[in-house]
Amino acid sequence: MTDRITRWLAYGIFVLLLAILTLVFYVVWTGVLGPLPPRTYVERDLQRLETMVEEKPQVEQVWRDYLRALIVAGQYSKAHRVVEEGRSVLASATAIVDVEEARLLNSEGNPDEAMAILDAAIESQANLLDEQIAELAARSIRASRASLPGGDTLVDAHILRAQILSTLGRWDEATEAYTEALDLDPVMADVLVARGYAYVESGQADKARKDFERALEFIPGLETAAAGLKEIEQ
Amino acid sequence: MTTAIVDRESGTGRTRMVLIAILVLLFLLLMVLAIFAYRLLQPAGKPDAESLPPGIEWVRSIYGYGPSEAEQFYRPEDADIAPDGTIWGVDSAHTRILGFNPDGSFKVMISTGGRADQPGRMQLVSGIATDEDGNVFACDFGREKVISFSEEGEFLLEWDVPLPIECDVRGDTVAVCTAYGVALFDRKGTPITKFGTRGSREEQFDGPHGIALGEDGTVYVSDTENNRVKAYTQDGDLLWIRGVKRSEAAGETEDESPFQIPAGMTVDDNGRVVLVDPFQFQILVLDPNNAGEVVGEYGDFGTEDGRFVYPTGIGYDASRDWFVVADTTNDRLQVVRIPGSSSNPFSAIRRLLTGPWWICSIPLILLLIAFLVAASSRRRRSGEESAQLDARSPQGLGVSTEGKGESTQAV
Repeated sequence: MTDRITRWLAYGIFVLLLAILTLVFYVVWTGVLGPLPPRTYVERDLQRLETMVEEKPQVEQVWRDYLRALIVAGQYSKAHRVVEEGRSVLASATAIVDVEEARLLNSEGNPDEAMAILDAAIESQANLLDEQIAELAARSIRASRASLPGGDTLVDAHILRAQILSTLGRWDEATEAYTEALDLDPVMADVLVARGYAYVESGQADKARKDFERALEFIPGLETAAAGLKEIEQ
Repeated sequence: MTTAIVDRESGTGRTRMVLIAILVLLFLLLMVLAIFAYRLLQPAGKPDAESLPPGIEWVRSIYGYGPSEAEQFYRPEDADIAPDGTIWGVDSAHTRILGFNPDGSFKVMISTGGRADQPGRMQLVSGIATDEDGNVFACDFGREKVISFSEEGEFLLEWDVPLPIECDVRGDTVAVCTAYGVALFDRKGTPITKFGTRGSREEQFDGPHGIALGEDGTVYVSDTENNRVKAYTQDGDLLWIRGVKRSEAAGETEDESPFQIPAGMTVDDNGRVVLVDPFQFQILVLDPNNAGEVVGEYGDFGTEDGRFVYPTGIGYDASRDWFVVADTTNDRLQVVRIPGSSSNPFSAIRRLLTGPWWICSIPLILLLIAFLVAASSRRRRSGEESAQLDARSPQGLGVSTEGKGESTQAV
């Protein structure tokens, strides 16, 4: 004859088994294990970009967009796999993937490693663009880094570097990095605002004001720029 | 004898240990499975409450019935919810109407092909409504017909209506707003009445894109191009206007409109008129008892879930107290809640009970009840047996119920 404790233990096992079966039934019932339509904007974006990467693997920007979407969705493991895949597919033009890997590492809380990758990417991309400029100059064609394909990758790299430096509180270096980006593309209102706030943090109110005002010239009424000006006045 | 007792006790101890080990393992397995299920069921990028516009509670978005673009909505123009909770959306660009279960899973597609003059064929559906039996009524602007389908998607009947844009059904009345005004029919398509002409004067309409029937039969109309909302009796008598009012001379604006282009509308459980304004990217709530005064504005521009880009249609599910919005330029339907739409104070509890977890937990709850009943009856029976033994004990059976050890020795 079984005693009371043994009986209760058996009941407990039975209840747990039932709970496990209920959970499995529920997961199967939702159909989440099969191919699903997207349930959110982020999922739809991921599905769309994954399809684009499959269809146009040679287009660098598609890898960039896909990696950014994965980082936004917090799917870091998959993003690492896509980084490797992107490197193997793009072969010679991997700076765009390097920048996104740095973004990924920074999102994972590893800014030092991110900075190391970014510095290398900036140097290689700048050299690549300079070589192209020299080749064009030999054919009497004038070009700048920003005007060449791949120039936007260099801009992205400088902006990301500035953002990482800002989160580390290294404001002077951050403003320098923002300046590098703005030298390449001077009409980015959001970057002007970001540099403005970096100037505020480093105690250079006059430079900050100029950046906020310039941003407002590009986008009248830009809330972040107006808020920055208000902050300086206070 | 003593050895047998010791063996039995050590056997019981071993059994207990094995059972405890199994219990712990099963518990760990349940936890792992629960975490796995949670991660699977949580969609990536699900908006948190803080990121949503004030007053909006996002339930889910419905993008289509499959992962490919052909299986997803493209510019859905209208949406409604049937009494059984089926969420219907007009996939305008694909010329089809898609039905979904309340949990967002795909249910049925209405997509009619064939010749242009073939009954039931859809060409340019701009609005839909459902009746109390779950039938779907579609306004086909291209074929100038109202077409009705069963809840399984089978064609029922159609009738001619010039340039129908949007419709609503309550009881046996089908209200249709057309480019020129309003027409009322019964569900068989028999005309009841019609009123309005095209223009900007108070009694006129210009491209109305929303219509809803109140519980008392009041006909509410979004007079879209005239930037106003109007309420009528079913005989066509004007009750009130909210928004731009123009005199007979035309052109004179008497007041500012709270709307830019009011579009799809519905009536919630509290009798309030709820509509979407595509250019304000918002759901607006009107008080019909106060000449349509705007009492609530919810939503904001954005592509993220919980925000809208040019929403054009809206429907309401009273039993779940949620709205479905045709978020047109975001190519999706969104199921959202807003404050004050339910008259039932227990609606929050009811929401929980209509969720899928409730369905899954039913067997577990039944088992727990059965378990408690069994345990209590066992305890009662054991109490009765003890009482019987107590009664027999003085008659010399030598059995004590005081403790196991004493009892064993006595035997």
